[in-house]
Amino acid sequence: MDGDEDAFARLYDATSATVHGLVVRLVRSPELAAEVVQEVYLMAWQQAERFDAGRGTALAWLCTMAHRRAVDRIRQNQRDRDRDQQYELRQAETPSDSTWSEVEQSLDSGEVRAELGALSPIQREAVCLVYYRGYSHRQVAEHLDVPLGTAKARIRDGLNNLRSALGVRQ
Amino acid sequence: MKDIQGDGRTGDVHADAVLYAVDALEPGERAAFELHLRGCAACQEEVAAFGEVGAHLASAVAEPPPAALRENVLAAVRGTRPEQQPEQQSEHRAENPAEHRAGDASGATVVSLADRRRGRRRWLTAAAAAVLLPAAALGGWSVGTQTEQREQQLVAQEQDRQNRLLSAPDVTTRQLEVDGRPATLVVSAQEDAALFVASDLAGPGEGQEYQLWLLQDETPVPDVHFGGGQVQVWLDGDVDRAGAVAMTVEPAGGSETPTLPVLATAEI
Repeated sequence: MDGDEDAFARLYDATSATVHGLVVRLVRSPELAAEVVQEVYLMAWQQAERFDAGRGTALAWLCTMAHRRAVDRIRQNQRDRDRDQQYELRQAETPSDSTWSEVEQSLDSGEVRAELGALSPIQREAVCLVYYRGYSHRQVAEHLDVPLGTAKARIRDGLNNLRSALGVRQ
Repeated sequence: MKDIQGDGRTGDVHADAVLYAVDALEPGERAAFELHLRGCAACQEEVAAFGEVGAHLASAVAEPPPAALRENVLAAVRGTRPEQQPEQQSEHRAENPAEHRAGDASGATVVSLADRRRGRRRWLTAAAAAVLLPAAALGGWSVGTQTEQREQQLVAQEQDRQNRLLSAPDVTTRQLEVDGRPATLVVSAQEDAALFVASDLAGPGEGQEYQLWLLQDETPVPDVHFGGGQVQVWLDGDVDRAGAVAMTVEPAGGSETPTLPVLATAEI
């Protein structure tokens, strides 16, 4: 073998920087990121049958798996910490919109920076917390000290605005 | 449409699609939404669309992994066979009685050969889709003005055309090497379509262009011509009647008969 592995290697080469960049930003540890990225590609290899080019791009398929996997790891670690040492997440946290300033510095795509920049600050912060930090809507609500419904609305509105700006077909 | 969610709160369950797509639901909500998702085509589309938004956000923070990771991943893959969906195995067996007979003699290994062949096609499709991504994505993200809306329509048409090709049951890819640089031909006879893709072709030279030829019964039929750099072109001719594709360098504007040497060929 052969053609399978060659095709897989090409897919890896075309997508791994994006997948890895996302995962390392979420889990904030190069070692854990390497582990998660390896898991993601192994899953992709085993579940190739489930990929359907008519439904979306290969990159979106991989990023979706990577985000899910990374977020599950983060939440598992949070649960472990909460149990072990009553770790108080909020104490370590930073004021509102700081996730955005941190993300903004590292965005290497001016396009995405402009699109995120075009969102209202509260939508942008919610989107960044969810996508780049892996927060659930409940965590977003706690972090921003707003009701759950408000947090959900900000995430939805922010992502819907991005979707229109990006021209992803309705 | 209002639904009662599994946790007893009233809410629009479809509105959770976007939250689900970016993993913003709590664990219990995620499980409940997945039950709904299985039967809801509208939500499946929503989730897929927000998956593309996510990939766009991810591509903005791209960071190459350490080189060692590539070796680890490929080594891990080498020892693992892709999983197969049972109904497709039997469908495949029915299509290939010869393989099935051979399978009776040597047990499960030959079924796995058929499976592998199928898995390979799937992989080539996924890899081809990844190759196509940059151009498709570049065109996809624009806003606003009428010109841009027209462009968006064109991009959407192009994406539909690519999707039809990539979803064709007989889609295959062929790797070509042009002056040491890789190019890919994505072909489906059933769709009568072929797409030539390269991310970085060398320039063909001053006053010259690359040209593709469809070989029909050994006769080269002139097809598209184009320059170097990032290339993504559809072949014009009768792909379903051609046995091979060849590539030459011709004077700008293309030729009626090929100028030798042939730079690359691929059977289709």
